[in-house]
Amino acid sequence: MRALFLCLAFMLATAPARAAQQAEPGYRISGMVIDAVTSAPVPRAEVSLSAGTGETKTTSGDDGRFLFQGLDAGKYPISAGAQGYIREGYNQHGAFFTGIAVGSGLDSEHVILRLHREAVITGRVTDEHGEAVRRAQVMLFGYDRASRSHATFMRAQVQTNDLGEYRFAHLQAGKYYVAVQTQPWYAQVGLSYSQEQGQPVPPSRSTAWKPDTALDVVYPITFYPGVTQEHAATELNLTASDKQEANIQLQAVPSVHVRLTNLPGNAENGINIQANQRFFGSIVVPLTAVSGQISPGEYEVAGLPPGEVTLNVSGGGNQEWRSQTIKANVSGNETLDGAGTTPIANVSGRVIFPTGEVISAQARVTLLDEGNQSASATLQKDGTFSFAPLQAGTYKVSVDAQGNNEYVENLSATGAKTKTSGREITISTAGDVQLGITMGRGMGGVTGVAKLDGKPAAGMMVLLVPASGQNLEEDSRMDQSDSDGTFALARIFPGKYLLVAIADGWDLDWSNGSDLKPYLEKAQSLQISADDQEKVAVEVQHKK
Amino acid sequence: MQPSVRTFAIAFTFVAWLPCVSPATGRQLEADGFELSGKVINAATGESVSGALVQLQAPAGKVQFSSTDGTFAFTNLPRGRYSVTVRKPGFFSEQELGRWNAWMKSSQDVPFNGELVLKLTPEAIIYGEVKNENGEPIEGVTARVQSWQMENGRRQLHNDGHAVTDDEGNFRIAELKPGSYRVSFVPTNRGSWVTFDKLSHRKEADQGYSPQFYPGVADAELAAPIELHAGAKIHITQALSRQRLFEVAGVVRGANVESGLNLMLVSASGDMVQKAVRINPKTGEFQIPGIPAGTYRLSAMAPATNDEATKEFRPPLTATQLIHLNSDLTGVVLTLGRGLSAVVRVYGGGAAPDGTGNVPQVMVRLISKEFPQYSPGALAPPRKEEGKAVATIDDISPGTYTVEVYPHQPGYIAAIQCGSLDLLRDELTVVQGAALPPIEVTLRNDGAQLRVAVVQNGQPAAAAVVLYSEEYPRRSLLLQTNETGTLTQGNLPPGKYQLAAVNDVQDLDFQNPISMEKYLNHASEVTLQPGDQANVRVEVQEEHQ
Repeated sequence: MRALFLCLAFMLATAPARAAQQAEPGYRISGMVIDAVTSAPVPRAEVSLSAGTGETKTTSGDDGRFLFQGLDAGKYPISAGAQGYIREGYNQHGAFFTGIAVGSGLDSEHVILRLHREAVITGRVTDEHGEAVRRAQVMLFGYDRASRSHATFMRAQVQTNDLGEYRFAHLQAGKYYVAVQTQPWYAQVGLSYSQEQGQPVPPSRSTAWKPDTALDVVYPITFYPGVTQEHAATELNLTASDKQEANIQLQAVPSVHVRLTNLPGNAENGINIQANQRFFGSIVVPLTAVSGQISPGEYEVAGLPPGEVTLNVSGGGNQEWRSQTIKANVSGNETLDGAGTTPIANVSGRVIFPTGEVISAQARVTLLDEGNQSASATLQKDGTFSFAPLQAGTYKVSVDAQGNNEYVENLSATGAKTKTSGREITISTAGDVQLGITMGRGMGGVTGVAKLDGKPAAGMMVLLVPASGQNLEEDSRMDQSDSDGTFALARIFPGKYLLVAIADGWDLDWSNGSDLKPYLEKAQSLQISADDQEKVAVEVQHKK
Repeated sequence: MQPSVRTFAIAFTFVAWLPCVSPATGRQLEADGFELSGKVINAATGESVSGALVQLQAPAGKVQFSSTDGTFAFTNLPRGRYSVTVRKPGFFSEQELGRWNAWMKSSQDVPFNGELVLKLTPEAIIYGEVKNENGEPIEGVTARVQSWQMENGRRQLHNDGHAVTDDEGNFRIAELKPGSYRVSFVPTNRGSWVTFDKLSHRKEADQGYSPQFYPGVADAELAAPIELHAGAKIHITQALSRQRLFEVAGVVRGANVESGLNLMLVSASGDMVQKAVRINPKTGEFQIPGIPAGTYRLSAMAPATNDEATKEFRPPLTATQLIHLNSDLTGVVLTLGRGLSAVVRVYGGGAAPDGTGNVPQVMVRLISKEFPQYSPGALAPPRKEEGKAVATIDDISPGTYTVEVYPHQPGYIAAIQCGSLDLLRDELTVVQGAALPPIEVTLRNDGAQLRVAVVQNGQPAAAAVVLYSEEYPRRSLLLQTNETGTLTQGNLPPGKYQLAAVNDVQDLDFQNPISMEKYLNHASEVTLQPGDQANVRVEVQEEHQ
């Protein structure tokens, strides 16, 4: 069963637990809450059951036992939490867990809820003088074992207190990184160019008051144990109930001043410049920076840390949303060409919908680049669209037509040197690009039972991957079988697929083709057509 | 003029050499490079403070960090007057503490014959843990530090800091200025709004934690003050025990729930207490479970709608009820409608009440006695040019209010009448269904001017002065002298006043006759006639127990 939100239990209204005294008609769910490592019962754990009208809670006794009764037949998500333990769904893996199936002939009375002791990371942030840094933003990066691509993502952020201390609690076992983003308390960063009588004046000749250069400093984003490069960061490997300390000392460095030239000089609403840094491939962290116009077409950006930064320059009138992304490794005082060196392409085209489709007024076409920046264009009534000038690169194409059952089926592109692959388009040179997008309608679904040695098996990882091996991240679907062995996969784009069920497959990096290959030989082949609902039984493979 | 210039030049040169003799540091190094040095000290302990940022502003920007013994030195400074600031995290500068003479003192002339001493006041910290009746930590409780402050002419609880307890129940609130504080603990509220067709039928009592003020009372007025001196670090362990929580259930009438309805329970401290609200969109029945015992304002609000089809504009509809909860409450009926309206008429401009002519503008506010955060009001008249000195305050919930009026031009409020009620003294009770007579405000500009000189032990002293009116206590004012101990206040309503000069005014409810009693025994008296210009000398009163 898949959770809609990771904290499903918290999002619904509470309803008090039902009385345990009298036996009621209806089905029961009962079992025990135990420590996943020691197997000792966990007393006074709060066990929650999500039902249609809300949530029911009960507390486990001193023997760790709990009971819900008076239930209608159906499937129930169940989770438990206790002091010192992580709140978990039954057999939870990332966003998936095993739902309890209740009804005649089903055993829902021997549920063992395993809770893992939470791990904690604490630490202290100090500055170059060894003094505590307060109100610094500390970021925790981690993996999600069951997410599609095992990518690192930002798990949590906290601020340090007056002692410079921070604390991340309720952590699962796993690998983590800690980084700090803040500015020196004494820093006074300003633009070095000023304006006198409408003319820009370089810092050396300006008579306007400026803060002392000793204060024109920044702290780069710093990883534990005190490095600014992510590849040099120390990985914290946490086991359950682990308590690790990660102290970080910050070093102030002179702020980088970048002069951007060749920007549009006639931007109506001015030019907006945002700076950010990218970590672990896809995590974008915004930087605080100051920018201002030096003269028409020239801007200064100050307060940047040295290193790899990305500047997103956008501006223009209301109708046109023009943006430029400039990546550079900066230091000291630099001049960068605001026009960028990447070729500019003009993308326009047409979306072809299945017959009878009415295009709603809010329909949009969106192009997502590798930095997770998106550009979008409105769809006209005849299905045509036109983007503001874009940089060459690779983009994921998606169409939001306000319907819920459509997907991008095919792309075709002519014009400037382009290549389409699945739902991606790569533009290599400057010029005009005509993009044709064909939409398909009617996503399919697969439901069924996962069987191990002929019997329904709970908690199995069920995975559907495109047979072509392409678009693995976007097109695959995953579920965890419930207590009666059943699973459900939905919103499947029509096509040819392979279905596997793997016991304990949660640590597999299945988006990596080679990890998955050994299991595909025994996979079931499925052809999903539009609006198809397939019902299957799949044999569970053991982890190789 | 030549001889005097020469004299001056000689005198100047003579004076310029003098500092060389003193141990301090106003030496003249070159033609126009002077040195300015000094020390940064902890105002509470007198110890030196290292690593503080000392900054000189105009004419030239220069900075220094104080060294390990707290000293700093600027060299090569041109002659002039500099603005000096000092700061460091964990400390407050004199300016930040709002000392009246701080701004004056922050200007420094160079050359300077001496050591410049800069004071930083250390922050106070309140920290501790929140536990339940079993001694286990409670996570997610908001610990809030508040103090009574003067805001908008009223004594209100001001938020000074807050922190949420972590998984070990710990909280820590820093950056507190010296003063008197109240600490409250409010368990987290994951408010959610759920629409259900079936309302639940409870079978078991609900239990949970309810908000409390340290050391363990529900009411802000009963909370024990925590006195913080500079640099204090106070540790608190707060135990919250589970209490019975109750449910408020009833029905909302007169609303199209599907087009939007806001239902909330607000406590006297202004917090929304509901964690979850269940409502049946078709019948308007609602249930709000999990509420601790106490007094609340239950209000429903349907927002204004603009019907696109019929172009009809429906104004917002409200319904409010005061609820005293000490057991499950059912059968509450909230009938949405336009709340009560009060018409405000303003008279004034000359010495006699006048309904026409010069139209003065005033701000009228109704402050709810039970819920001080709730204060509907209006500007009367809304637009000056209209010539009609009338305004309306709409959607007033039933309850008891004090009425406050602030003039937007020179003058004083001579009278506020509502029917036979003298609102300068009395409270206004608003009852559902009973129409209110118009509120009539009379403004006059023949006020008196009072000049006060405060002395202590024969010397002028800066202090706070309470101008207390026995006739209309709510007219009493809390004023502050300048550094020479004088103050001037104009536009005062004629009448009899008592003056008390005091040093410590925090927490002083100066509009409350009971709080003021001990000061009034030693107060100076003055009776002001219209147009008077009076001078009074007041002796500072020592601390009273």
